[in-house]
Amino acid sequence: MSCVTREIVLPVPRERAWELVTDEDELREWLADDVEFEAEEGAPLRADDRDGIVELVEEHERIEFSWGGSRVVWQLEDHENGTRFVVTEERQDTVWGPKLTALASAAMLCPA
Amino acid sequence: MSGVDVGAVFSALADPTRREVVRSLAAQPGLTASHLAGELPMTRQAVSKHLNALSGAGLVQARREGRETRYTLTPAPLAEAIEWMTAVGAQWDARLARLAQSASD
Repeated sequence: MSCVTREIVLPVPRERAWELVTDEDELREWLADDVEFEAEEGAPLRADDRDGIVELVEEHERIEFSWGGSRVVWQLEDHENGTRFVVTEERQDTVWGPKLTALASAAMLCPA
Repeated sequence: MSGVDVGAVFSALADPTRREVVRSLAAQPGLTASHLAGELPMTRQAVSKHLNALSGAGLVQARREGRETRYTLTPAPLAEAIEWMTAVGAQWDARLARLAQSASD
């Protein structure tokens, strides 16, 4: 139930933004030093010491993958200054009871 | 997790200032009310009031140590979760800063 959300507006059109988040050479510039990545569902991925699997690909829109014990969602959206890139990473290995769930959402740790 | 008054938890955390107190305690367990007042833009009296509300909801535990009272977040998993989020958030901040650089090249 723990999650992190970040977003950034990239001053580039959607096609270029998609390239920045799917091309291995581009990913090595910002995601990790050592990257294996293919924008194809079911493809294995690696970023430094994390291994995972690409779970969903909607071209120019959305990528979902698992790595380590987390699930990551990348979303691209139109923005007046370019393309908005929204990242969400959610940890999968914790199961919380009602108190923690209430607490996390009340503390706005994890938007419902 | 049984017997928990979720309503009390929600109402205790409805106040943004109290959420700040929770975040401070997550980052530094065992703070005193004076330390918290030093970190947050509020008086020691206001901090005490918020700590009472949080401890009434079972979110914060007070422990006397000599003349001081130290406060810790309960349950511990929340503090652990906040730590995870802080670390993972910092990683994404760094990656997105590099991505912004790539996008402007």
